[in-house]
Amino acid sequence: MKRVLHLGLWFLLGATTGFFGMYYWRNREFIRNDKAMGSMGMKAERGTVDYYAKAQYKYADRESARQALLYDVQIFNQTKEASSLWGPADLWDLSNSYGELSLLEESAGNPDLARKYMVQAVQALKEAGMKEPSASEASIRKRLGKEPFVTAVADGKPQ
Amino acid sequence: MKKIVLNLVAVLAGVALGAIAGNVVFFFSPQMFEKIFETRPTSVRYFTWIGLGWGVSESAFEENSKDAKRFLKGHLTRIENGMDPRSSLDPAMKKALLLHAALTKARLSVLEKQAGNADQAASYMSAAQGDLKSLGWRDVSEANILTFARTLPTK
Repeated sequence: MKRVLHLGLWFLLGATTGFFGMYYWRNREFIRNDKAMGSMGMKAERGTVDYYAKAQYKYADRESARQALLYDVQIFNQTKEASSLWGPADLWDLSNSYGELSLLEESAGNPDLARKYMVQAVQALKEAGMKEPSASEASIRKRLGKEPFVTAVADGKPQ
Repeated sequence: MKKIVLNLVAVLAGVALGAIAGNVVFFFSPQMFEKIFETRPTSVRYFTWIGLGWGVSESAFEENSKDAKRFLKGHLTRIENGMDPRSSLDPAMKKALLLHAALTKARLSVLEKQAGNADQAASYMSAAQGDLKSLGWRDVSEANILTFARTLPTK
């Protein structure tokens, strides 16, 4: 009796393994697709936020722009570990966001914060594999130009 | 020795039967596995569709496709689903979606204007202006919004 029970348990173990093994085998394509979709979704999520931050920096008031850029950096850090699709282009975007935050804080009269963000902007470029002079404060400033608020005041546009 | 062989035979027979059962279940219900994922609405899955909708509707708008209005309306509906108070998305993320909604409404306004539907065009533009004002935009004039709707803000 004990022998039969043992054999039954071994059989059950085999059946369970066989069932889930086959199920996985038949669904492996779907699993692969879902993983790919997950990476794509994260990329799209970050793209949505990055686009928002870019637009807010360019068109919105300083506080709204600050919130959007900080959120952009937060989302980047949340998703970068989870996705295999991150690369130098994302670090370039991150550097731009930090650079814009730096220019924004500089214009708002917060030099310490501005310096901190600029260091992070340069660091992101270095992580992306860039070297000086491309990965430098001067190059970031040259690329980003003046902060939009400063430009708007200079152009006499409505605030 | 005999005991080990018997156990091995039992396991192998189990694996074979289990594999057949797994195959049969997959054959008759291939959607079951998908359903498990579908009943798990994640922001990642949502943003996959947002990303696709964005790309398709933007291309259709830029190429002046006859399907542009349909794609933009579909995209707007998906965005509004994400901004719904019942949605679990972060409030900051809902703001990001609001910007996309405003952009989509501005584009719909352009298309309605081209189609000669002035009232509908004005309604979309007014909605876009309201959205952008709530996002803290300094200039919500139609001209500025249309510039934004036609060009990506580049860094």
